Amino acid sequence: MPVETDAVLKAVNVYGEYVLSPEISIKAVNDVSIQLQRNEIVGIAGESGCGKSTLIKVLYGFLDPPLTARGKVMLGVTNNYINILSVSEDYRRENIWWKNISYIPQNSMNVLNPFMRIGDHFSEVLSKHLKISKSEAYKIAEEYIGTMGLRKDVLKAFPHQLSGGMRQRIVVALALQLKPSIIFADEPTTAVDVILQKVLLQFLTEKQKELQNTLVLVTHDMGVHAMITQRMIVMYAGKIIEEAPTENLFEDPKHPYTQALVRSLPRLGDESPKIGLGGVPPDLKNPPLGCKFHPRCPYAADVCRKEEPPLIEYEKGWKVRCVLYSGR
Amino acid sequence: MPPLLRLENVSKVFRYGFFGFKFKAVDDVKIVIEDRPMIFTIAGESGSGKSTLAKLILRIYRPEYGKILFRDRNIYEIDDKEFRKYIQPIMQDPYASFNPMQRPIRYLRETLVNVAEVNDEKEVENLMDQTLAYVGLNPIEVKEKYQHEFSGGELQRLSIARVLLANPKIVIADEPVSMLDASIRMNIINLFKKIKDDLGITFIYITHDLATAYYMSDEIAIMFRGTVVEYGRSRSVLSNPLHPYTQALQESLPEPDTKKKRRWMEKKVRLGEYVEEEEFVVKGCKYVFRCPYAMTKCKITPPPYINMNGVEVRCWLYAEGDG
Repeated sequence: MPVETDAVLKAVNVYGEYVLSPEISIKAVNDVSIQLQRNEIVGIAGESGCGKSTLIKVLYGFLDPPLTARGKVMLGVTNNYINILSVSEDYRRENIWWKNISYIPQNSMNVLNPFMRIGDHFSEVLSKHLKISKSEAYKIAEEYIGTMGLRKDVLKAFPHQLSGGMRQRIVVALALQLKPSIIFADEPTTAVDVILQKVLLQFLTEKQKELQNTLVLVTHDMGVHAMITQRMIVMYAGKIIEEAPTENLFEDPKHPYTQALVRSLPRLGDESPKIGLGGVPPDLKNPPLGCKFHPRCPYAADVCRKEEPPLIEYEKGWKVRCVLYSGR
Repeated sequence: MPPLLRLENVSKVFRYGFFGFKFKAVDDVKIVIEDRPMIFTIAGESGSGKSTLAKLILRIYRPEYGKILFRDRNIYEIDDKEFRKYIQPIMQDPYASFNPMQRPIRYLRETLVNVAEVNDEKEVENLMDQTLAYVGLNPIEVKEKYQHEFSGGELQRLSIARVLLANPKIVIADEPVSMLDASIRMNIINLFKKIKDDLGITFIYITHDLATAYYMSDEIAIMFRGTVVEYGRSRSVLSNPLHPYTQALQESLPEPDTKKKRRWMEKKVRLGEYVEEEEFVVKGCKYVFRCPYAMTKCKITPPPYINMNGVEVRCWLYAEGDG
């Protein structure tokens, strides 16, 4: 199948669970299946606690206790697929992370080691993965930093000598230096001002265009999704509830939750009254039966309270988890 | 009628570091808030001094220079008890606003007794029930619950109810919705608008979110590195910004509208070489290191407040004669 060959990552029935005690566990990611294609920008949206950050942690294979994961995350590596969740962490560290998948964490401006010069951050990764000496690695880093549009003397600086925006670009440059096929970015631009945010997002998308790889952007900021992503995944209470091309999702959202979310967004120059959504997101320790959204849904029917609706294909590339569209 | 609140050349100096490096977190701010119900937004990025300004108005900090006048009275000449009746805060973090060991309702009751000075027990209960219902909470449920049993949105509604019980003239809300989820945020913002219309309370709303500011506010002040660079009617400031900084903000704002994607992507932002510390201590305009129109004059002399059709802007570009 043509779709299969293009998929750079396939996740099948993935669960991510925080086991707090034998009795209490939080299913932050609950039966999620997605495919990531080569050369696309995918956005994952949702409110805090919907499982979007946990999902990319699971896809990246970064499982810190109490997080545990089940399911299959198949990563395409040279005509072959590796299940990220079944290999050991050492294997991931040596063969997958940085090389095939990179991860830009939240508040990325504060992840650099304050005792290390910027150049050492670069040469450490290079020398470990390419098995070369530190001085050789430093030379490669010097050349590389020029191609990223950054000045060479930043390599000699310590992180605190650089501005926040500069540090964030350094982290992005670090994540990209081994030319990974997938980049996960978890809220890369929260806590910076909108001007820096734009600089960083344009930097990220430019590099994505150059490398023709897959960028997965997790953020709650719908404005960023509209400006950057091509395809969007909306999550609610650990489940995917809608998956659509970004334009369709903003023009004509299908799921009642996405509808409420998109319609509540204020815009410059728009004075029409906006209405938020009532109620609160469900408690994941004790989620409601049936559709997770039904307590807040204006269209909730009896069937919604009993059965979890499946993810229905509304159109090609457009999926909705709602019974409103099951009769089609 | 005197203006409700007037800030006259207010400055606040902070020191940090071993050598006592000094900088002005709020620098020569002049704002007049007229005595009519409105939402006055103070917008700016982190480090712009907007929260410091709020704390100055709340008397948490004392300004080094300048005066803050409430109806032509210096706020430091008003005694504490009276001051609390005029100006009340709503804090950013709803989870930290209430004592976790006590029921939040106790805090509301104490506000009624101590600030609004209602002593009749029946009336206290009556007023509480009315106000809680007004902000969209169920009074019977609220009275039984502890802080951890409320959601963030509910706690913020409780904070609003508490403020309403004090019946102030001005409410200062410092990023009151930034900790809430997007789908709930609008309900709280609509509640602010409703309170303004129903009860005639003036809000000073502090935020970094320009889209929300446009939606809710009547007037807006844009802050940058401690200075107010532009202020006036929010429609005109945000639709036709005059100051180069406001222009850059407006152009960089990602909007939830895919039709604007191409324009947004094509328009590149110019990020000059600058050091944040330098921006705080420069004598002239703080924006000079990033400004595409920077002149020699900008670095030396701080621009005055210039009135352009009702909008006050601090930029030499708009100075008469030698602009």
